[in-house]
Amino acid sequence: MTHLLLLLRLRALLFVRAFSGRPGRAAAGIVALLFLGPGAAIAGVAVFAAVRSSPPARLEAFAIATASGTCLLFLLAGAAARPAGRLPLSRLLALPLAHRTLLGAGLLGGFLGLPGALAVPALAGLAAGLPPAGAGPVAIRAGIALLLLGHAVVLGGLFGLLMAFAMRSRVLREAVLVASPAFVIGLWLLPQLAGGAGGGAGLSSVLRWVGAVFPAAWAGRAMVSLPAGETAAALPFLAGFVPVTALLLWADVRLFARLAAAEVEGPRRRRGRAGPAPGPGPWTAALPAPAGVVAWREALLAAREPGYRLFRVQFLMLALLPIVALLVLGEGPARPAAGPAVCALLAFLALGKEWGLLSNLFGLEGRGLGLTLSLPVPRGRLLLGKAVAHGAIFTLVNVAIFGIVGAVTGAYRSALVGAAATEAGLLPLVGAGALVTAYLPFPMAARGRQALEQGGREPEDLGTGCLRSLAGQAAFLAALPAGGAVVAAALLGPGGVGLLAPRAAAAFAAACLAFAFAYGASAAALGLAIAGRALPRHEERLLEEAG
Amino acid sequence: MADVGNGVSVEAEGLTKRFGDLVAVDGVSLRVRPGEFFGFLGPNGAGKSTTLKMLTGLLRPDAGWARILGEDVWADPVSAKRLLGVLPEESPLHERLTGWELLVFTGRVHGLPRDEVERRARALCDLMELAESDRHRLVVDYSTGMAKKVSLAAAMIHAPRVLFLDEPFNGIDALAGRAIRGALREAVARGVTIFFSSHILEVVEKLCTRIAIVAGGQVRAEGTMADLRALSGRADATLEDVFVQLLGAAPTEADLSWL
Repeated sequence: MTHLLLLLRLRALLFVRAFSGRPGRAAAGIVALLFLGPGAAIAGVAVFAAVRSSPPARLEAFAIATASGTCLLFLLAGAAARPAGRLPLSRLLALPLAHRTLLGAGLLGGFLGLPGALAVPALAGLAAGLPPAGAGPVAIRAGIALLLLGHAVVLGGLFGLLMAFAMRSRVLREAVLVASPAFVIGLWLLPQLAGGAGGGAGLSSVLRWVGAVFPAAWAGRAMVSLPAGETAAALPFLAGFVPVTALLLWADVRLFARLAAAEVEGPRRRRGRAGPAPGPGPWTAALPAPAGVVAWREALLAAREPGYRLFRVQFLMLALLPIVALLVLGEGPARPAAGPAVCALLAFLALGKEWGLLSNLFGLEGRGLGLTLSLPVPRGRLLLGKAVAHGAIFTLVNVAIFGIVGAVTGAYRSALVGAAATEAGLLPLVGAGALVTAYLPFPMAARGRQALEQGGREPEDLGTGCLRSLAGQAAFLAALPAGGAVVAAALLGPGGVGLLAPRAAAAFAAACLAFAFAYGASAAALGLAIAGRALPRHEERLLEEAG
Repeated sequence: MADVGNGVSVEAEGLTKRFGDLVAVDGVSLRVRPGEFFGFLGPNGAGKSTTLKMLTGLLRPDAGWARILGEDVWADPVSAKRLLGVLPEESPLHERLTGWELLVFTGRVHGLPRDEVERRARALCDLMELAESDRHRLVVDYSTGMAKKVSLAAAMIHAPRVLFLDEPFNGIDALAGRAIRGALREAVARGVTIFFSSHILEVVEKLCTRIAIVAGGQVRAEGTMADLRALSGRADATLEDVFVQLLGAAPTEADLSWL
């Protein structure tokens, strides 16, 4: 018992420490603890008070939703908790502590973190919001609420243990990282699609299904029917709920034993591939040495860095926007007109996303930055190699995005113009990005890996952050003539608004396109050359920022 | 071997670096000749790593200068970096490259043709006893020792004339360590200069032909093992004896009788 209390005290201390440090984080903690929890309780009371006079079915539905929500809170808030709030199991296993003590501390520790801070008030809201009753029914409700809380704890524990197993494998860990935005977007998109197909029927059938099979919902149902004297209706739910909770606890114990054994064995290492990967191909000779080799290595890093892959997944998901737009527009007359607007929006978003990478060309170096800077590569060529790699990857994704838009909207011409304008606009951004990389080095994720598309943590120096923001706006102004010239070519060229005679239109379009890409290429070359000359003076700061 | 730097491989004069109020390196001057195995020792926080970073062009000194084979490190960093190989203490590598890709990249960046890079990479991996399957694993999946081996191989692949090694044997098993020591000795015999920093005094004593001891950002003693023994006044003194005598052992006042 003393050990358990010691562990819980440690857990509480770590939870409090997770909010210490930067003022922003402390403020977030205060908001979470002081407002969200009571807010959930008040919302629970208010909702139940509002439906007290409604038919029993509605009251039951809300009870089911709240009970299920409490369990989900333990699951999701527990999973989202910062690693600092968790106890390192490998360290604890070296201490003379029984497995049941460690598991008990892990499960009860949920109350000393975000899940407890949110779920307990929500559950109190559930109990308080139900129709007024005598002492007996209130005691029954409290008993069921305690059972429900226990269920939430063991279910959250099971989820946490499964996640801990998944996190032991780097491949699984990265797969979860890359798949999670797709999952979240899917969660948002599915009800939209279901709603589009058949109103709210799809969603309510899902809710009915949750109410039937999710054990926490059974407790919610019992909490409404038992105090109302409907014992016969409540007993089957309780009879199922208790053994399911016991089964989950048994699974927690078994899984914990497996996890403890695996922790003692040490980290799981991947086996090597069968053969060597292809080295830098002949294409690298097309660039002045050694920029081609740098581009090859940058492309490899981009293909393998999970944060960067995540960024590209998000990037590709931009193409979902027109699909949603089409769902909203349906088959009406507005649909064909949506093409140019969607393409313009996509071009802007795509370039905005890409700017995050281009303005920190060392963002993928991570711990290897020192090694790269110790190599005898002229800095202009180092930046050129990196820019070429990013530009090539951007082009592939760009073609894919506008290809999808063209295929879905049928606005092929708009998609083609959008892709070309984006490519032309990219070139000045390359030059501007190289300048920002050299003159305003950004704190990089050498140790942490968050927000890799922006190169790492938020800038700690407010002045530099403001300058970077201004530089971004200036870069987009510089990109406007290139992108604008492509749009002008499309508007006034062949197939455009028909303001010019066919031959004049063709000549005008050709001149515009030539200007767009010549201007863009010149801006890129100028930016890379100036940045290459300036970089050696700023490398020390870059290394400092990388930690 | 062509003598580029007036018979001096590594030359530094008055190197100084401050971090705020702290003077990390305070006027360090050094001269290391070709073919020397030069030991660079000091307690934690003595300024060793900062000096190494200034000598290899990663940290700009506040005062003083450094040359590698006559090339001013800060006037023309790219030329100076062509001549040297660096193994930093923490072996920071690109985690998402395989060991093999990292070696190929480093070799190609130094301008070596592909076949030659692959030949050297194979030889270095054999020397480091890095198994064929391990060569094609991502660095993120490496153990500390494997990462150190790849980092060392990357520092050597272009056959640099000056090698800076910071704790090269940390985490490396005895068999590979012995093979690497042999290879380093052979390189020194061929005229390569090795600038070697380590806390394992026995290894330094065994390998180095000349040693400098730094503390508080300054060079406190410099010379061959015989010079250092003479300085300590004991003909049978080990490097550890000299080190302790020079820097003073920390007094042990804590009561640990319960231990």
